[in-house]
Amino acid sequence: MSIEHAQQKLGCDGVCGLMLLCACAVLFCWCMASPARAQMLHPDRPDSAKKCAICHFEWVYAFYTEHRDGELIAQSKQEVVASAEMCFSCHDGSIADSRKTVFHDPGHRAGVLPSKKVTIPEDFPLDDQGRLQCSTCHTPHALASTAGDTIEIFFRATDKDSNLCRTCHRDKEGGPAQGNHSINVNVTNPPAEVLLSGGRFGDTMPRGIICETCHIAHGGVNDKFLVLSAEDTTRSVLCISCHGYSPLTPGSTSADAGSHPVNVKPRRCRLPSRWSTGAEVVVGSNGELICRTCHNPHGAFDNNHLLIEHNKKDSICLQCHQDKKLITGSSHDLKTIAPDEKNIRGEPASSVGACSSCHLMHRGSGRLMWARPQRLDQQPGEFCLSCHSPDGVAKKVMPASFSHPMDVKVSLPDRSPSLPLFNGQGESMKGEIRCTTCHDLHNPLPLYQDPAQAGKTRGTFLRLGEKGRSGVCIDCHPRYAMVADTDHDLRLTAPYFKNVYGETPEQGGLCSPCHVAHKARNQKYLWSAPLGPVLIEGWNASYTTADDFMTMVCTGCHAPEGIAKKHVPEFGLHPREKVKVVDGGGSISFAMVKDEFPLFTDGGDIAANGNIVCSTCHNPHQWNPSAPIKGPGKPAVDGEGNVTNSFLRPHLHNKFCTECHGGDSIVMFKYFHSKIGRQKKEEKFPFEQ
Amino acid sequence: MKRLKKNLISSFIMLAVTSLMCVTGKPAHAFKVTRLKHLFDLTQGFLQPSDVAVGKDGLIYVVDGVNNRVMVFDGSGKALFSFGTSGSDPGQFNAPLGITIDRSGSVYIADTGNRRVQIFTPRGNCKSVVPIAAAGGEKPSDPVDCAVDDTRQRLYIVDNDNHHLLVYSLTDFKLLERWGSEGDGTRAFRYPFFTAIGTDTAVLVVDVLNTRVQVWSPQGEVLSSIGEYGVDLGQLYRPKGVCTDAENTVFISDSYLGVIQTFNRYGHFQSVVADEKGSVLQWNAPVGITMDDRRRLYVVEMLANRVRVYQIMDTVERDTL
Repeated sequence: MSIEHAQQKLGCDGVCGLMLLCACAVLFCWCMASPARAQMLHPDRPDSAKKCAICHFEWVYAFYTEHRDGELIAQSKQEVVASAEMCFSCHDGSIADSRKTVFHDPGHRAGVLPSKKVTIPEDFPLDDQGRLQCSTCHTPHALASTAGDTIEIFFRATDKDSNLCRTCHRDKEGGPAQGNHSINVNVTNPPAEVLLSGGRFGDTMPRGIICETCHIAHGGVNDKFLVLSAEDTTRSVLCISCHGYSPLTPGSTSADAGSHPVNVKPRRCRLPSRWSTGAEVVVGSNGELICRTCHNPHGAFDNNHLLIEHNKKDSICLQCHQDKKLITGSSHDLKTIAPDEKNIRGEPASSVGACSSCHLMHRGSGRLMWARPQRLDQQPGEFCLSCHSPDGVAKKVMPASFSHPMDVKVSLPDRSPSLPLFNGQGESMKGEIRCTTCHDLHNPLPLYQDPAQAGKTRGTFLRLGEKGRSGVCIDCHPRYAMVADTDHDLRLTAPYFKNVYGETPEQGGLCSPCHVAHKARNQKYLWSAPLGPVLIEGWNASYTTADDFMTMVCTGCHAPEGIAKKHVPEFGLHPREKVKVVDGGGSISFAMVKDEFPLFTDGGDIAANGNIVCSTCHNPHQWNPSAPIKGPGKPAVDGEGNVTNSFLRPHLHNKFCTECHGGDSIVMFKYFHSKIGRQKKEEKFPFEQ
Repeated sequence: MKRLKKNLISSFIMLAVTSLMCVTGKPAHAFKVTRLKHLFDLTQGFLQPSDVAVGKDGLIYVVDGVNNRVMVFDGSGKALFSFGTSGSDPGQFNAPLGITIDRSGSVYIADTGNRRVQIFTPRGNCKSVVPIAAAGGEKPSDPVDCAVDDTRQRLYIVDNDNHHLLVYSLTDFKLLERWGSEGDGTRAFRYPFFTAIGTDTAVLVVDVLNTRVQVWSPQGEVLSSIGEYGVDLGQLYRPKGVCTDAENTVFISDSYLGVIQTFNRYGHFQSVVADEKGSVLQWNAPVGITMDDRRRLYVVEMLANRVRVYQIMDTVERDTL
């Protein structure tokens, strides 16, 4: 049929035809120009096209069909269906409010390249730049899953038992054997704080640990997406919520008993900048030691305890507690003296490091995390005596009798600035003297010659070792340090003298010739030097007794056979029981005989009814009474002093002696103690006694 | 025959040209722009702020939802004070979204997460708490915004999850009516969001997923629907904020397209908001908007964590610039 024929058939001419064509064109253009109408004309894009394009922005009619920019926005070149911006356009509170949990709080991020550690299945799509997007995990559509799972709305795979997490994070599975925290194991009681913070437990095992027990994809507290903090100001709260923490529960058998402290800033140790493996040392937000400092729930080196690295020979302990390193190989390292001795875990000392024989990081006993089978309570010294006892592994080194008193409260003014005191809870400013006041159990220094084994040294484990063996004595008893460099400093005057241990003054230190803390000859003054006779030829026997300890202390040296035989008084004794002590009135008061001119009983106690003995007039620790300093550093000139020194107590002759002897006291004093006076000994003593 | 050929050629040319225009894209055509002059920005540690309102004395109130507080500024943008903390006690907030201020200066906050509206004095002291209860069988209430009709003593509250506009009495805070239901027809909403009262006391409600703003009479009748789905002039993709000026021109923000367009009260597109030079302004997730009586336009940029303040200059044909 020709066109003309058609025109005739239709009954119209050329103008009519033109109008018809124009009408068709207008109709076509009208249809095309109106997206809504156009959509209605497309059966494949009914009204649902708008609904799909709510998210599938690139399917907006102008872009998808007309391939043009919108008048208000340029054509999208990329698929933005589940970009963070697209999701946010509904999750800004207008449909759902995810502002805080998804778009502010730490959590899975969109728009980032996935870590190399994760394995992302093909049905978890990345964007065209290989980045994670919301759509990687989420979809509003029901899709088939290669895993054959039941699809849950908005998830690309079922999240049963945190399956969604494990689909990609396969390196976090395998439990401790793979250096990861256990999953699919039951907890006793799911902690409320975990549940309230968004953590959940298993679907198969209602109390079972799953990834989402600790982690939450959106709304976590840190970059590990944890439901509770393990590192911030609330510190190890996540770990503790399940594992508990009460390190001050002595004797408890629960897992949290006797644990290493956490959530505290290290005070006695120094954390390394990095572990020996190079791993980061994780601390709390304020530098606190936290569970994560030593443990790594994912990627741990030690598959038993999820430790940050292998704790071979307690290497983790010693990286922080470097001041304890010297214990290794010392007599306090049990494998050196008792290699078969087992800790409460049944591990012999030979198989563990120096620390683990005595301490366990968890399940130890009490504050000291004690690992020894012997139970400890709060009694002083029991800690040490559990080994240093007749049945203990250190039975050869017993403190025995005549030791420094313990359990002694020390008044604050007399308190050593350096040595610690202890109470039942540990170190305390107002505590008492314990073994560990003087001894640092982890540092054998300074060493000393083992008297039983020639050429071998042993550790003293004394604190303040750098001050010499007597450093600990002087730190609490500083006024006795004035004996240094005097005639009574046997390092100067009798260097070959040996004390009860067989040590020379140089070996044992300033105090050691006369005093030792353990195994003294006498509990009184912990006297370690030999005791002398109570009577020397020429002395009046009625002025002493067989038990006159204070005289024997001096005659141990100041006797004809003693090392101070050049300094034996011609008339060494004062008549006994001659001092009448009354209060006030110018007489000798108790304060005077206690502090200034002490009277001594035969047993060596200072008492008002005591006698005048050598130490009443002499202070054996201070050479010059007017100079409270150490001595001149050399023996007295010609081996003799005078009335201004000679260890005499201050103002002796004009304060103490004159109380009884009046103005004659100086004459008597010179007779007894003046060399010139004694040279006239053939002259009769001018005074009746 | 010759005539026929001529007609055919003419028709073909017209058809081809017209078709080509239609297929290859809409021709750029003249449109009006409402020009703005930028005055200042409000930035005070906001975390995804959502809405803004101007009080009787010119104070600017910004809902800083993720921070669970309301920040208050003076008319020059100087921060004055804030009120609200995280919690559920009176005066505390849980992810608040919308705000409105009545004629007396009382501040109404849609305390969304706590499912209530709280009313504060201009200084931020809590005066009243209006719990919003859902009807039986509905989802828990989700009050996202509110508006006050001082003349009728009404408080309009948008229940987002239940797709309602709730009408409360301002005198005793009792629920008077529930308007709308879920759907895409007339009197239906799909996630209504921010709301505003027009100068004619009509209630304008952003109907997010229906990509429109519905205009309701005080009697509960739908008067008009503004906007349609799309990315061209006069179309909406994610409408969020709405406000009107003294001439009852309706301003609508679109958070995904990042633009603000104006319409008349009957839904006819009027202009796109632009800068002083006439270039269309783009914002980063613009949501709540409001206008004060000095013709200042306040735009909350949720993702930029700021509020931008502009002076409206004029509305002109862009081609004339």
